[in-house]
Amino acid sequence: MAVNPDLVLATGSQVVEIPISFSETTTQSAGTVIQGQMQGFGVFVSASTQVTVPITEVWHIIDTYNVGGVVGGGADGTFVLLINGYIQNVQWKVSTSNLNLLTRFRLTQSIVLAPASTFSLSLVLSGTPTANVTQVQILKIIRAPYTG
Amino acid sequence: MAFEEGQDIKSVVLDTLYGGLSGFAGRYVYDTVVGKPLVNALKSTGKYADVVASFIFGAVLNYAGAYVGGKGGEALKVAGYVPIADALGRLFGDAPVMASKTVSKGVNWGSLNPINLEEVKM
Repeated sequence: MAVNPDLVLATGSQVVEIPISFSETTTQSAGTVIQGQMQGFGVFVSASTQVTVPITEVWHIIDTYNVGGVVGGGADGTFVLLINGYIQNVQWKVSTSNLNLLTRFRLTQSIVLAPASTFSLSLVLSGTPTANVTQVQILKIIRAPYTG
Repeated sequence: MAFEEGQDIKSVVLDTLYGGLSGFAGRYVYDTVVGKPLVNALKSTGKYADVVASFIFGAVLNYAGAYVGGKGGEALKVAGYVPIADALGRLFGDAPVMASKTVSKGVNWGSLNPINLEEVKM
């Protein structure tokens, strides 16, 4: 999914928080990979498993968190970030990125998304969900005009 | 149009400005170039056709003019948005309120180098 670029070009850098939802079902088990549906690019822009950065922008992923940890009935799991189809060497769990944890997972440096690159977030389950639930993870991103 | 998160008064002013200007321009061009000759041609065919022609073509041209104006507006927006937004930005201030509060100043977020988040107060 391409993202409309004109807002950032016209107004400068800004922060967006992208909710990514993962649908867990009782038929899944440890090792199941769930592709996250990314949302938050406008009211009429549908959720997408993969987002393309506009060619005029640089994006920095600066934080990731969820509210409340593993949802009731859901299973814990490890998030896998893919940029341009490549797995990135940074992985974190649902349980350790709970916003309410004092020692929650934090990025020490921003993950750069160059112009025109694509990214997606997958969840590898480490157990079997006991109910059909939706786990939501937030990516906090700064969208900036590309300065070269 | 409605305000969206992160959108500032500048883009709202721009959208309104372009919408209005381009709608007017499109309507004017379509009316004078296409509309008048058509109506005149139909008028010459008879008395009743005169009334019908004025009525129908008036309505059709109104719609078509608005459509063409809208398309023109999109093109105009793409071409002129950035420089005009830049000029407006100088008038109203640098960045939208939300961004100036949450995006750290003095950090080149537009570069391809990773930013050390521990040094940046978010």
